Amino acid sequence: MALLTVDGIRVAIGSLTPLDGVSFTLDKGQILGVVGESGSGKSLTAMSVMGLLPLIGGRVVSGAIRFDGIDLVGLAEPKYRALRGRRIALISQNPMTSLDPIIRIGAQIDQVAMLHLGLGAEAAKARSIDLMCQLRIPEAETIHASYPHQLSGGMKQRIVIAMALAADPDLIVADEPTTALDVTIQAQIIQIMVDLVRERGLALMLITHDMGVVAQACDRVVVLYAGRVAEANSVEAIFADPQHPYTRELIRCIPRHGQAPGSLKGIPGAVPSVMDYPQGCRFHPRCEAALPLCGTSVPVFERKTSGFAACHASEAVHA
Amino acid sequence: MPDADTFVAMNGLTREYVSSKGLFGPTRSMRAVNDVSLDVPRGKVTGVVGESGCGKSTLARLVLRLIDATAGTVMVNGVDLGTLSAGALRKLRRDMQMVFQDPYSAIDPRYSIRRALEEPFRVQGVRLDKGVIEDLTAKVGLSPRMIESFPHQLSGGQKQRVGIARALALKPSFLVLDEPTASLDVSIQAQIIGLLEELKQDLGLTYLFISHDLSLVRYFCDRIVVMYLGRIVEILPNARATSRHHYSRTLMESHFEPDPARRKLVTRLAGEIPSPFNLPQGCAFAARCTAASELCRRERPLLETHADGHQVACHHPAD
Repeated sequence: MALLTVDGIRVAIGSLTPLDGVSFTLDKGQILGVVGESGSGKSLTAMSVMGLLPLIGGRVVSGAIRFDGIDLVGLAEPKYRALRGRRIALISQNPMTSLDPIIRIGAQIDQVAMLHLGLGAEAAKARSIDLMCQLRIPEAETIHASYPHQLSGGMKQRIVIAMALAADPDLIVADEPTTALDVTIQAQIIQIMVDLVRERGLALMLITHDMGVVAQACDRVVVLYAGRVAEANSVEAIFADPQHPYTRELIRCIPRHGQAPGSLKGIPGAVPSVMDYPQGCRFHPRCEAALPLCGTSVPVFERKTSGFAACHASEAVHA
Repeated sequence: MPDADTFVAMNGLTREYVSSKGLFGPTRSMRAVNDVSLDVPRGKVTGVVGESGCGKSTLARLVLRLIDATAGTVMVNGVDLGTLSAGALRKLRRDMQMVFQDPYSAIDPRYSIRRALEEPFRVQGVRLDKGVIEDLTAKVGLSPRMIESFPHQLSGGQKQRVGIARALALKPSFLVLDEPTASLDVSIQAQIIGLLEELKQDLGLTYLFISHDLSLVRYFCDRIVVMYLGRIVEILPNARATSRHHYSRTLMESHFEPDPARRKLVTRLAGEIPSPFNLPQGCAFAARCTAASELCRRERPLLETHADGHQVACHHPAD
């Protein structure tokens, strides 16, 4: 059984439904890429799994989220709190929002293990320093005693990863963990995360808009568009044979080495606002393959010749 | 003496910043841009690439004299910018404009798009003919009904189109593009790059394109300048040339291609980026470089010209 199963969740915030039927599964030792433009529902999906929707006045109105046999939808907050940080950890885009600027780095990592694993102060510190070394943080002892402002962005993000790992979680949700970083640092951080998944059998849900990062790190990919799943497949298949025109266009947006000048086009228009989602397939106003049917009928998310997709223009396979 | 094909010629350009530790503490200085000499050829796209803190944005501002140089000169069409009076400089600025990274802060939120586009004419005292604003918005692909709207009603991509329209208002021949797509989604980034390519073709513009994104620079630029800690370390004569400086190579290897078949093997970078306030005596990259020798730590390599105008500042350039 998969470690995490998200099954057709609908998320409502007031009278709006920004997520409408998102499904995927994630196994141990696997990296799942969740991709899409801003406004596609990537971060909301992360918040749903983390049980953080109440913070923004949202809730899961239907569908199920199961983590290791536990039903997360409707789980009481005290029980959620025992999972969060302990078994499910979050790495956010901006490390500064995860670190307290007036508390020393070390104390912030230590308290995770003290709180969740019941370790004493010294054992927690030894554990933190060991983790920092594994994350290739130089002079771990010195950095353990520093404040966040004394560190570079890449180093701060490593500290946030150390905090996420401190209680030895089973699942890490990483929301654009390298978007704010320089490329050489991004490459290092992504490599560290891939190594961790392989060595510890962690499950990683990697939210990103960067198809380069997806190709480099992920095993499976879910493409979201305007609150729905457009396509899901293995990373190799999704790049080799994308079934949804949105996936195809998204891949084409990144210039390849040696691409001819004038051939980069982008996707016309923009992701619609949750307040005026179009009828039928939500991508149809921007889609070059749109059929008359696409404007009236919502495509079913079904098995295709390769993987699963929700598109009228791609042929279904009925088993 | 720069020839007629050179639009901008920078010579020994340096910008120093001084900071003090506390109110009465000792002062220390760093050179954000350090002795940079670079020609920007007319009608071409010159790309400047590097990570945060390499000085690329400071260089962009120096070229337009938005900030003053500590040393060195910028010649535009054979005129030394440093010798110009404020009035003469303002007049020259009609011919050279900038597109900023953040379209959100580049436009006054209280101005309608029409008023934002009329501003350059007002500032420069240029007569505004009927239909000019309509032509401008059409040129950047904005629909006429947006002219009377306000920035908050526009998406990020549309705002950046307004930023480009404003830069083009007075028919300049040179644009400095300072990370114009860094805050946009990849799909919108590709749209904007496509637009910039078209405008360059139609209007015969010269671009200085500042970016941290190597795939974009390689796609978009005729010539690639790599900066590290304030200095130029390499100039690639064309986008197909193979880099020979070890830092440029690291930069290229850190870039993930959108293709799972071409995953990169990320090697661990030894050492840390030196503090710009306390640069080493020799090559600034030596601490992180696998090819560094005693010579590199002792003596800073100068930018030397190899075959095809390929320039490298390295004692042991790769083949």
